[in-house]
Amino acid sequence: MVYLDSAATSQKPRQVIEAINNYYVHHNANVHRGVHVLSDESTQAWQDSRQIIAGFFSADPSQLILTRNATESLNGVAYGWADHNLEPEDVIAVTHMEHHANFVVWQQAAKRNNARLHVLDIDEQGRLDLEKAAAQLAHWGQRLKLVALTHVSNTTGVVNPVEEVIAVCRRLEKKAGQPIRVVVDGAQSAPHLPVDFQSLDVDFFVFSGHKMLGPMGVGGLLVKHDLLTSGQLRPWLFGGGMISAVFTDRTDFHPQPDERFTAGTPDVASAAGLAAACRYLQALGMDQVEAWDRQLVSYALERLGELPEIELIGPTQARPGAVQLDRVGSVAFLYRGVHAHDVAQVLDSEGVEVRSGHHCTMPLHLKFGWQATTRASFQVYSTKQDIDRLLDGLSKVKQIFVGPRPAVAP
Amino acid sequence: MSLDLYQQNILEELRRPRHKGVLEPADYVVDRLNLSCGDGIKVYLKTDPNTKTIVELAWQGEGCAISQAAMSLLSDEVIGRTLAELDRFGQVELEQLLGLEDITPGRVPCLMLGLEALQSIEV
Repeated sequence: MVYLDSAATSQKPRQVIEAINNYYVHHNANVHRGVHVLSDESTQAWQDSRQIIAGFFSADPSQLILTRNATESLNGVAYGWADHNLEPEDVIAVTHMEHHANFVVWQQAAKRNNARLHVLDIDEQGRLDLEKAAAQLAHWGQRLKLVALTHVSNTTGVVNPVEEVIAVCRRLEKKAGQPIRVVVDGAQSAPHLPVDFQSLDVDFFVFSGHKMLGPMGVGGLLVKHDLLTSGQLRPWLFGGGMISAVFTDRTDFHPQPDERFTAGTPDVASAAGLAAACRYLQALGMDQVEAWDRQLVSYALERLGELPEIELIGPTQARPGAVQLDRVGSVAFLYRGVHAHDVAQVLDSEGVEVRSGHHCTMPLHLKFGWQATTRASFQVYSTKQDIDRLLDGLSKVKQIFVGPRPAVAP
Repeated sequence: MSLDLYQQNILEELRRPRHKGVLEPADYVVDRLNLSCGDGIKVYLKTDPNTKTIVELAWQGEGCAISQAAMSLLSDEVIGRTLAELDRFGQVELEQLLGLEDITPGRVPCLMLGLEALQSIEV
């Protein structure tokens, strides 16, 4: 079987599964709660894991809030920051290419706070037009409070110029005399690109562990120090662990940010699994991981581009003057005359697993009039042979739907 | 098993769908969208005012082979039946119409799309 659906979720290395297993077999106990040896070991595993995961993003562990996934992290920013800091008529800007997780969350936060959602336009290749976006953002002046955009599109594979967008926001906030917060959705970038949270100068960065070789059920939210120390980001989940003292009429929250945002028993085993995934990727080297992914994307674009029945989604040529194509992780396409579900089903029968549908980017699909697309996506274990198998599978699609008809079986 | 989905009779329905078109004016116009894949089917019906028997039917749709073939075959089956009789159809009947066994759970919504549109008519 050829697995080409890693953008939905990656497969897990043995080291990750062993880390989870090892935790439950040898160290399982609740964290911070007991004075016994197992509780100490569990607490140590939790803290070590947090250290490794934060380090993977060049962040300090105190800046890392572990959540279930990128979606939960984005909701955390909405409930913990937006709901306390947005005024009526304020503006949240998102792009037209966002995954529903980074779209619906802001659409609903805007509704709750009587704020406005501005959708930044994209061009025919699915790229953000930086100049146009900068002008649109500048237009809102002091009303602009938050910009949320994805680092890498899960549908077109486009790598957004997040550094430039952040720089634009920093210029605009100087002019406005008040901060503009930026959220970067790293669900599709963390698995393929080196991410340095500090030098990115972003306010919030979110990621999902399960897309970067880690287990399902663990992800993270990285937060700039000033948002944590100033109390602008407030807890949105309450309960045990996140408190320092509780009285019948009030509660003092934990002074340490990583504790303040972790209510209830955390998923230590998954954190250990994600830490193992981070170590695995670090051992490969994220520069190597990126280079390999770029080779696969370019090979897939080249091979699929040879087929007249295939219409590729997203950019296939580098921007003018750019050294490389601004695209990683996946290649999605339309098969002329055949529905994406049928394409995926035939591929499945040929042992090739791809995703079909709207990939949680309905606004993007509606904009371009795509009913559904088929997507092949990659990870460190993907090979060019996998892409060759995809091409073989697509010839079967042609045989069935376009003809010549297969010979009738005896 | 899954390749059997694309047996000749289903591909034939795709190439020559039955009763595909628009019926205007119609007594009933109903539609159904499968939001997970964007497939949609719209059905136009003319019925006998007294017996509520379906006398004419046309449908429009875009979608995968299963949703389109199921609607095509179903359209022939329901003409001549009353609206109340639409309740007799379900997943099993559609599978029989298409000659499919054990359709995977992921494709059941495709199979049912047209029927659900029809069954949304309040009798």
